[in-house]
Amino acid sequence: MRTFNSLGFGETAQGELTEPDRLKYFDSLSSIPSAIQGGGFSLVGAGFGGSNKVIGMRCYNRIYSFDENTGILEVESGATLGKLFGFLANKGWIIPVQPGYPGITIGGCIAANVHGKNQFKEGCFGDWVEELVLVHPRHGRLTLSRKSDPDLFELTIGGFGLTGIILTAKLRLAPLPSQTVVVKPIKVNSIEEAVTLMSTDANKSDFQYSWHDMARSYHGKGIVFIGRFDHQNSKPQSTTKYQPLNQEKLASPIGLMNTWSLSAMNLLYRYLNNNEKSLSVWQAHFPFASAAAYFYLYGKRGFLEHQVLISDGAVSEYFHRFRLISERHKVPYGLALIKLFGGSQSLLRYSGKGISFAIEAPQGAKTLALFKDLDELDIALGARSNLIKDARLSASVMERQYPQAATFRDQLRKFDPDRIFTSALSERLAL
Amino acid sequence: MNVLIIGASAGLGRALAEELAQEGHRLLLTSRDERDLGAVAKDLTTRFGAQVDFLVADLVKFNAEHFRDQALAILSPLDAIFLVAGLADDEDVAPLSSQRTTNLLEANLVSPILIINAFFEHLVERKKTHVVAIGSVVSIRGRGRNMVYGAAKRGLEFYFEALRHRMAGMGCRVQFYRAGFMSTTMLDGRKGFLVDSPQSVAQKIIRRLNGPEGTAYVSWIWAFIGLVLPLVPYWIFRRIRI
Repeated sequence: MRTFNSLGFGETAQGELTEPDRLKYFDSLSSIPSAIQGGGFSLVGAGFGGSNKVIGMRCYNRIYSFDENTGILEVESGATLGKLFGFLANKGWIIPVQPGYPGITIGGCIAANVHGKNQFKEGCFGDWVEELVLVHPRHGRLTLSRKSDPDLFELTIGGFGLTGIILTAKLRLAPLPSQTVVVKPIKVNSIEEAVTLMSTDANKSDFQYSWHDMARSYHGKGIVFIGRFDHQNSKPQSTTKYQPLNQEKLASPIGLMNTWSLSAMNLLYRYLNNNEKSLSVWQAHFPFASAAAYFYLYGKRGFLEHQVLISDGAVSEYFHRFRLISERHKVPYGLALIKLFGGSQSLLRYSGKGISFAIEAPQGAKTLALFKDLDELDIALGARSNLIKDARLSASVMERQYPQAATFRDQLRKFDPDRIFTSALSERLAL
Repeated sequence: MNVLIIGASAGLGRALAEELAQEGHRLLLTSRDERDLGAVAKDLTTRFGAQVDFLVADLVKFNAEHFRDQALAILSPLDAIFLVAGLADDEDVAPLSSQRTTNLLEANLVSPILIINAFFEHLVERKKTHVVAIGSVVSIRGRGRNMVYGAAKRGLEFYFEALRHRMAGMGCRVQFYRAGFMSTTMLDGRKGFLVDSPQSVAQKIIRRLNGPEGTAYVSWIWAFIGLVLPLVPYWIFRRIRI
């Protein structure tokens, strides 16, 4: 038995890890409740908990085929984004949607229906999945697509690994326009200014997000980063190496994130981001590849993240009330980010049109009280929390934010009345 | 090089295949399960454009001559043979059933020797060939766990010592590794300073392919343990539960 922690120590459980490496393992899968783990970097307990058994998928990381005519990649679910990036970039292709750390696996990306820094343009990860093979003790191996079993396919994308083990996936890729991205930082004085700037600039950028200093004041003085592929100046990737993220071993014994240290770090960050930069696509996609140490500064108590999708019409009211709540609690935010979102929403997926706003804060009673008030604000203004990022969100809050929560539960139970695949997340949200 | 890897579907065998494919060598992979072999072959072909074939072979109830004929019909002449396959048994403490004991001995000792015998003439005729076998640190000193597995690996090590002597001057380089713990299914997710990744072990073995013959450890820490453990007085050793 060992202890599993989500990234940031927000959720913890005991369990026993099995890491099979042969395909015959799936011929006689046990019906004992299990959690499925990919890279193990989720901010919530999605890859452990719910039962004692954890099935690690990291050995199933092979690439089966890549068709350069159609751009279809067939890959096992334990393959990491980093491994695939190196292989694809050399051939001039890219997975269009990628979260910020290269150790994350394809199975995790599908189960969490993750987003990148270009959601407004390229959608979420699930939009690029053409087909997947799901294994379940009761149903065997199932090949799912939007045509062959659309309901189960849709339930599995953003289904938190609860429908079964995703063994392989066929992904639609995009040609890589350039190996280099030019990132232009634009200083803003408030969150609202960032939102306006990003909305007007959406068509002219390939990536964008904004960073805000909320260590002492909650106005949101910050920087909007506008990224564009540099078609004139495409340099080969200098590295596809990344720092291993091992918070259990390397997290600082005490938390170092407080108002003063965060203010100093934010000042430095602003200073370092004064000028336009030319980054490799690797650096642009994976900022945490070389900044794993950031997470260690929160210490062993860790941090909590709260990310919400706010409809365009509610933005100014949301941030007005957000500031009032934040002033009341006076918690320093370690990170505050805005991204532009598009598309539509269904089931429990974090997608749809609006503004995505994420904050991180050191774990503790003050942060829990603050996030509880933010839950009420979210509900009042129709904002939706990202379930795969918030390690303390309750089932009742989820139900008030996601009208299709009951549909998700019903469909899941219809497919798997025994509810074999579980996790700390599924227990907490009563899925 | 044309390389035959026995036990290539997972762990160290797969990692060796990956290193060799990356260097452009032509590979013939064998193991018990066709699906695993097919998946590894597809991966290496897709990623490195390598020429990779595979052949299903079970080292329990093994017919070495038939296997040699099949293998050479697919890939010949061979420049190197890597004997990586190993079979462990969680219940490998006396008493163990006759069948399971036999299986362990066949897979870890008898079949590797049969393979060497079957390919001996081929390797000698070819010249400048390599035979690499993987033993285990469990055979450093006998203890009440992995009893048959450790005995088989110790036996194989002795055989390779003899093989090196027999092949001296014949142009075939014989290497045997006492591999330490690797983060494979045999270890069930355990980690620590004694545990190495199959990738790192494979890289070290490939780098040393033209290096010294004979028995070697893959890491300094295991070389140290291999030196010290036999010197520990028995009255202390019997209390060590490892």
